[in-house]
Amino acid sequence: MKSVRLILRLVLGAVFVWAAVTKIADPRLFVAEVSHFHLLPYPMAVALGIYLPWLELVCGLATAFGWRLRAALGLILALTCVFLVALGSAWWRHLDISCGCFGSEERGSLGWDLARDGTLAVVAGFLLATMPGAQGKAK
Amino acid sequence: MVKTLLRDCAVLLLAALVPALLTAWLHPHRPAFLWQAPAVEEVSLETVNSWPTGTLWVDARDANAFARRHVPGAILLNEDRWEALLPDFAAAWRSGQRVVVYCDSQSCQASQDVAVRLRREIGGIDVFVLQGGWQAWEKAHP
Repeated sequence: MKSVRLILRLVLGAVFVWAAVTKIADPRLFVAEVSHFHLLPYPMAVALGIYLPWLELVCGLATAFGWRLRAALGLILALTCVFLVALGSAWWRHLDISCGCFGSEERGSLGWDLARDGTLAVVAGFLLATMPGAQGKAK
Repeated sequence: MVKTLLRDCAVLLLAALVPALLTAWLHPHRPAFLWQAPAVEEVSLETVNSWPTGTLWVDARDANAFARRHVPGAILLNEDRWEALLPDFAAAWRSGQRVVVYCDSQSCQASQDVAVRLRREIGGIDVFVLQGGWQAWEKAHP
């Protein structure tokens, strides 16, 4: 169980670090991707487009290295839930846009993006739920 | 337990805030803080060159300027002869391919107009406007 947790932690951390690096390279493009969702006023899309990749990077590194792990996993779970809501709303509104999840190069279907983010959320939730002491503390 | 968790979350959130502020201040590709989104996103020539996949260039200047010189592979498309020129664009553009429109310089409006019209008429097209227009390209390719 311990080795499964370690592998999942490293994979989850690496995915978030990779997602962050591709966006940090060109914030202008990621801001454009965020604004294409039409969920936020433009100045907020700019702020989020600059801040979000760095938060992903910090959380990804913290998860991989086990630093403030519970908080990092909690934030990753929250982020993936927010992404799921945003992607779901884009899908619901039939927007033909790129997810922007891994920079602007990636362009898949929103259905695939939803499945991928859902999987990441499940992994983060699993890691949180199986943290040593998590069940004991919950009682 | 909850207090520790909240404190750790705050640490992580703040740890991301510092480089984000530096990005907003110093990053060469930092976005401008505008109250409204530009009609069509502008990209620098450097950014376009960094894209790995083939980009379709659209020249929104008039036919004479296009005939004198244009970006290699560019398609002529302007609002004056839209209907006549659009088939050439449609033949050259592959679905999913990025399109970058340029006109004479930073101050011209034709590239924005053509880009907006392309976006309106072709759903889901990834269209951008070249910052600095033809002048920027010519400066980089004297």
